[in-house]
Amino acid sequence: MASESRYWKRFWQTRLGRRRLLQTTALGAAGLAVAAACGDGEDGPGETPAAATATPSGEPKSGGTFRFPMVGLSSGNPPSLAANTQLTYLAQYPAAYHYSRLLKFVPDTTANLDFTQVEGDAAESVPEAVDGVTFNFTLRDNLNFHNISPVDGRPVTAEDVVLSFERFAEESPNRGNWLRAVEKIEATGEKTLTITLKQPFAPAFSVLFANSDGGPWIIPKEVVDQELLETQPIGSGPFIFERWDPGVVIKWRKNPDWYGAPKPYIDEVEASLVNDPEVIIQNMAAGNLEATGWSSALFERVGEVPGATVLIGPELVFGAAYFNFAVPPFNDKRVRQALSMAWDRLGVQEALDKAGAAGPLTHVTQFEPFYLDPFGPDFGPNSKYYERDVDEAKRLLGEAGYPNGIDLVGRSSIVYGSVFGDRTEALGLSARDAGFRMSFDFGEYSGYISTTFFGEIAENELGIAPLMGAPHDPHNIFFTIFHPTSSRHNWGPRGTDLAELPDNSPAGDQTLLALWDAQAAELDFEARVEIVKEIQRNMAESMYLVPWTGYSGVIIHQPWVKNFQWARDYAPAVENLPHLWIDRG
Amino acid sequence: MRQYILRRALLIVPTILGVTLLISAILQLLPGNVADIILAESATFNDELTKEQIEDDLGLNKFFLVQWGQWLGGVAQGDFGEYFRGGKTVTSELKARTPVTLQLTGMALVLSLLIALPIGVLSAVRQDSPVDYVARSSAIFMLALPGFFLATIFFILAGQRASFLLPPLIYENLWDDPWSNLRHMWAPAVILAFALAGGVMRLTRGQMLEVLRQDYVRTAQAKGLRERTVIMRHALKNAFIPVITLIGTQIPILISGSVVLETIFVLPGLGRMLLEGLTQREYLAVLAVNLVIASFIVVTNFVVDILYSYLDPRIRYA
Repeated sequence: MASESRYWKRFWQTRLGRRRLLQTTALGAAGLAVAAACGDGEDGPGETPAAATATPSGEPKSGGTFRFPMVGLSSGNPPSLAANTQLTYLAQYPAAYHYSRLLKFVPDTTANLDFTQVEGDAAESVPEAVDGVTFNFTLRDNLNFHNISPVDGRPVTAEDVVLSFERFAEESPNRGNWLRAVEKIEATGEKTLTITLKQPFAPAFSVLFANSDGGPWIIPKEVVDQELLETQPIGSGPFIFERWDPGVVIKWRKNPDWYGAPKPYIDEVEASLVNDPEVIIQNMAAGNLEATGWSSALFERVGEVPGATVLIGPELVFGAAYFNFAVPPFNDKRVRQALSMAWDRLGVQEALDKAGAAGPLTHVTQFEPFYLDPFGPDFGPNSKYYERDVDEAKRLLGEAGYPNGIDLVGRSSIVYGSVFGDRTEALGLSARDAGFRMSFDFGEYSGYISTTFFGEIAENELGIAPLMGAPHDPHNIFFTIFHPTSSRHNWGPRGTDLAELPDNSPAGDQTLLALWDAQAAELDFEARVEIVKEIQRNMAESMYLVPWTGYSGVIIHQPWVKNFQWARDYAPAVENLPHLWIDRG
Repeated sequence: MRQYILRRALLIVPTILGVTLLISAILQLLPGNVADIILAESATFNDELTKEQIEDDLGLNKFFLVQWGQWLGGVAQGDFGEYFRGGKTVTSELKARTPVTLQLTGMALVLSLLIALPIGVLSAVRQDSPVDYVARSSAIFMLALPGFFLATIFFILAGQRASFLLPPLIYENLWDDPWSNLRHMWAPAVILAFALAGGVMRLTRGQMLEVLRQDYVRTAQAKGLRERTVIMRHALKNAFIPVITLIGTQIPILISGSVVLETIFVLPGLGRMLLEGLTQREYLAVLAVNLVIASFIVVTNFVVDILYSYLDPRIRYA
């Protein structure tokens, strides 16, 4: 227990010590992930774009409208505004504007994909964990619901939080992590509440309390009782919902009574539900949008937006080749290892990443401080599985019974766009030298999702895709994509009885299952980081999924947008927008 | 004539029902359903939901004829059902989106006729002149260029050279903000009109040439009537009969063109609703849009048939 009580103190010390101030800033790839921070660099039209650095932006000014394209996968259009009953991230994105969570991520001026930095949102501060499982939260004194009927600006109470979270635990399809971790939640006063976990859960802050890709959100009882979730969502967030025209726009106006007043400085937010790249580029060039995510494939065109500030950083998307462990050839570990060693990750990155901020991926993407550079000295002997070694790949293929190479079909979807498609084909070509003769089938979204994505992969086939965008913690990747109990793990075969799943899959890898559980339970922060690094070394050898190479994401904003801070998330409304202002000089 | 109209009208209902049944069957053949998408788009760990549970909740595991019958029963009472995700009613979406597509296709149709008919007639009257060559080349140009290409070129040119021409990103209804609405609508309407105008222009020219060589036209000219009178009063009406048929059959082209252009121009119309419905496997939305489109096409063709028999009394129901 002594180590548990020291955990949170060391957590803070470690994370602050590891913060690196980089010259580049992180970004959100078009529709998939949103990363870090910003500043106010300037590039003229036609000039080579340079990454922005954080700089002061003068005195804040109130007013103006912030317009941006809320680009999403397949469509930025949410199926519903009822975030509590929807599984999809598309419904969580808008929720971040009008609802609060207990904690929020700290917006940053670095490219770090570091979600360990949190601060109070509805809570006035980050709580101490008394015994590793008990968190005592105190709500902000000046935290009120929006001043519209039926709540009319009444204060948010601990009872509101408890009711919201209990409802979340009862009905939300996103409650998986919550139910596994949380024992009980109770109001202990008008503004105080206690959340007790079933067992120590190290990523509690990022996965449970600051989570914005599944909730829980703080929603007043009146809104639920009067069935306003769909039409008039009311919360205590920085913006008040105004209007949703499906397929067109979502609009918010400033919440003048927000706890962070006089923030937000902007009067209105307009999220345009457009996803055609050319339309976005030209409207940025014409000054009709304030900011946008930008495909790194179009990086050379950022000069078309006069004076735009360009933010570059690694994307926060985990992508990989994935397999069906019940059929050859990828039921054989040696073939998976050979594929990884056949890929020329660095060559593809150099050839295709025009923004130049990409890095190699492991099974946890590039999370700080958990990420372990697969080409670095700390990775150990399993680093060889990431190094390109055609001869060794051929040898492994021969050992596995394919001395003459193998014909494969890589299945994916056209919905992931040209950046992904180009990179996938380039990786496929690079593997040809080792005997992997790959062709690709980029199918229609739903057809692909219903088959390949869920592990329905035939002999001599593999899936390849960006599998998870904007995870908040390595735990999310381990338990969503890999873990056999996850409803959407990306490998085959599937089944609810773990004993019936093949031993050559993650279901039969007792060492790895234990490591995944261990990192979740380890309250010594540095020890947890080490476990996650050990998981990366371990998974480099098993290669249940073969990570591709990272690529850059780019965000650009207009010169009149000041103090732009882009949090690393799908739903960064409270992290970034309240801080920026518009100054057209 | 009355019997002809009645018989043609009676064919409308089974035709539309047949279309929806066919669409319903085809949807069942598509791989995947909304349950797959719901599971795949989950952003956090979930160990409870299964595809079977979701299908059970949404009624997706019923035989498709049962689903189709239940949907049809609702439609008969004015209820097109609900979206699987989000609980929006399909009826309210149809009400909101149909006027957008009608306005777009209506504007495109009018524009295409304004472009095609005068040029087609002029091209025929001035056969083998520079005017004719330019008009014929233009018609081929219009037919050859796909709408999405024209739309992309438009955005690049407008964005780089004339940003005031860029349509607003946010669509406003015609009755709420006419100026904003027309600023949004004119470009996709013109692009859509282009696709239609090429064909109409070529057919108008061809028909006019044929009619202008008829004996009765020569007689009219021999009587000393002015060229304008000969063309407008004697030639055009007869030349127009096949053109009307072509316009009727071009309606599906307008609708399919609107699917692409509504997406590019961020217009909340039926085309976009159809595309989103298909992508997200929202079967009821797809069925409803197809019902509306099929009804539109069938009724348009019905009207064309009536007009045809009016313009050419020799046409009768065989």
